[in-house]
This record gives sequence, C-alpha cells and structure tokens, in this order.
Amino acid sequence: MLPFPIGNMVMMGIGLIFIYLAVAKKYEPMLLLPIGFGAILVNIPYSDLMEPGGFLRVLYEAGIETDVFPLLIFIGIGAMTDFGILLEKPWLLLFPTACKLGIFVTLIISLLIGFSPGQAASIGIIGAMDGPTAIYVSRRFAPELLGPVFVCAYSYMSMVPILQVPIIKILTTRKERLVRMDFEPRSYPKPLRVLFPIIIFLVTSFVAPGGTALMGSLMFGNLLRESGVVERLRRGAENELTNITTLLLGVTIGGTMQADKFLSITTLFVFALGLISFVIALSSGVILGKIAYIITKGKINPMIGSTGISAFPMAARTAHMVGRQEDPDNWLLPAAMAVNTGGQIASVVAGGLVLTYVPVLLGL
Amino acid sequence: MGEREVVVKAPLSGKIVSLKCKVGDRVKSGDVLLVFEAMKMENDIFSPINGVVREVFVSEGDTVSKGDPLMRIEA
Repeated sequence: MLPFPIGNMVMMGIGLIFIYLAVAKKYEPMLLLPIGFGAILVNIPYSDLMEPGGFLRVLYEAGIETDVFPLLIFIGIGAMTDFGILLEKPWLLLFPTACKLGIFVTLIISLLIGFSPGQAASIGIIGAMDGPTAIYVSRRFAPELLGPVFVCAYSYMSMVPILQVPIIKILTTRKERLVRMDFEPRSYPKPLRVLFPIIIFLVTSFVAPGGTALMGSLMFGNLLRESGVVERLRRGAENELTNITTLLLGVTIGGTMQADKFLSITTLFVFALGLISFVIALSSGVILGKIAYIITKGKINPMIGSTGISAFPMAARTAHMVGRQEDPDNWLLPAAMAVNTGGQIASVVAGGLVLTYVPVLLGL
Repeated sequence: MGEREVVVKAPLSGKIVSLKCKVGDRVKSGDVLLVFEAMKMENDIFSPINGVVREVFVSEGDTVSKGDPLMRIEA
C-alpha cells in the first residue's frame, strides 16, 4: 500500500473544515466550498492536478498567472455595485482610507520580522480585505507566497463578522452604537452616474498607475451598469461572468494548498500577520468613527467605520445587524453600505499605491 | 392616531418579501410582522407593541418608499 503523507491528511482535513463551514454554517459558501474541495483534490496523494498539464495547474496558469481571474471578478463587482451612494456623502470615503492603515502597518511589521520587501507588501495587502487585489499584488511581488496570501485573504474575508463584531463591541460604547444615522440615498442624474466611474478611473490611474488594470476593470464593470444601454452585458458581468470566475478561482485557490508547499512556518506567519492587518484595518476605521462621533457631537455612529474594508456587503450588513440587535429601529444600512462601497474603491487604490510606490521605495 | 395604535412604516426604500401576519392576528412586541428587503439585505420588521393587526397596507412583492405605512396595530 502506498504511504499516505500526514501533511496531505492535514490539508484534506482543512479542506473538509472549509466545506463544513460553507455547508453547515453558511460562512461564505461561494468561496469556502470550492476552496475546500480544491484543497482536497490537490492533496490526494500522488494526484497530478497541479503538475504541468494537470487540471488545476491549467486553471492556475490561465487565470492566476495572467491576472485574468482577479480582473474578471472586478468587472463583475463593478457591474453589481452602486457607487452612486457615495455621491451623497463623499466624505464617508475617509473611513475606508483609515482602514487601509492595516496594510502599511503590517508591511512595516513584516519587514522588521525579516520578510523581503516584496513579501512584506504581499502580506500587508491582506489588510485590504480584497481577494483579487491580494492575488494581483502577491503574484507580482512574492509569487512564492501566493497560496498562503490568498487563502489567508479569502479565509479572513469569509470570517469578517466573527472579527468585526468583537472589535466593534470592544472599541465602542452602547451609547455610540445606538446613534441613528438618517441617510436615504437619493437618485442622481444619469450623466453624473456615468461620469463617476470614468473620473474615478482616470484620477486614480494617474495617482497610482500600478493599479490601472484593477481600477480599470472595476470601473469598466460599473460603467456597464450606469450607462443603462448594455443591460445584457451588465447582467452577464454581474451573474454569469462573476459566478463562473468565482467557481474557477475558488477551486484554483484550493489547488495552491498543497501540503508540501503550504504547511510551513512562513504560512503561519502570513496568517498571523494577516490577522494583525485585518484587526488594524477594522480598528482604525472604528477609531476614526469615534473621532467623527466626537466632532459631530454624536451624529456619526462609529460602527460604520468598521465597514471601510473591501468585504462587500458583509461588513456593512454586520454593522447594521449589530446596530439593530441593540435598537431594532436603528437602520444603519445605507450609511454602512456607502462606506463599504468606498472600501472597495479604497482597497483598489491602496493596491495601486503599493504596486506603484513600494518598488520605488523599497528597491524591488 | 391614538396612543393605543401604531402605524409601522417602511424604514427605507425597499421591497416586501413576505408577510408574517394578517389582519386580525394578535402580535406581541418583538414579533416579526414582515420581512423587508432593502439594499439586497433581508430584514425582519418587528412589532413595537402588543396588540392586534388592524390593517395591512402592503402585499408581498410590493415596492415601498421610506415612510410608507406597512401595518396598523392596535394595542
């Protein structure tokens, strides 16, 4: 009988846990189920799925090494997101900006621990809580960490509520959580809505040209939505394109979880630092929310600060649900959604800044 | 409107997903009256008082605006 390496058994067990969380607990099933199954597939001893020509290897080379998967996902996200909500109160973008502190603090910590500049940038970007951006950055700067970085990013994204709720509860008082924000998004003229993705794309691409493909895909998808003249394309991007790419991306991510590459001290460091990045991201948003609460004399609910990450719409829903648990008539959803949509833009901008300036500053 | 009567209103613009009670039903404070979808998120709307549902102003699938009356409950 052929030996069954213990590492493979561990990874298959992790794959089964992912599937359990997806099916029984309904934690981000669209991510965790394919990732979990991919992890089992690739760890069947002597399987050749990630060998040259193997099923998962072909997907990896076609979708990850070319950046096609993350960029297609961004077209879909752009097509399904109403960024118009930000036109009402653009200053809400301050909260997502604060959340990006997690990226840069973790980048510095990773450098101090001894990771190379490219590895540190790839680990730090986990704090953007944006899977496609994490893939895009780590593939360029530290392809050897690609597996751990994007498994970490997607795992933590699927566990947003588990971390967001305690951080909110620890950092805010009940009085702050009870603040109601009367915010009903208005309908804006079509020209403004059409111009929004074009202007955002042009401005951010000049500031951070390294992120042009990411922001370009996101805003192209949004233009499909806002133009109103390509309804079939919008629906295709929002549904078929996103669903198929999510499916393939998930199983391919699982395919990178090969025991011999994944089970290492480095992976543990990536997960620990990713957690730090995530906690700093959420906390810095809430702390800015508390400052805004003080400045506005109690008009801002600090919980909305925690929704400035890219995990959309989980972060907004979580903040809203925490608010309603304490006051069923507190409807934070519109404000939280506005900050959360801003979080998507800010994450891509942060990715672009890292791609553009980290090589210059750290000599990559 | 008297003090012993409450009109439950739509908290945001959205859609009525399902009604959990009908005219004549007795409800307690905190009971789910209906499920309401806003910004692609389903939310339960709770009864603010103990009482009897006297009027239901909406049907399943209806689109409502913020402030539209949903149900009248009499204590």
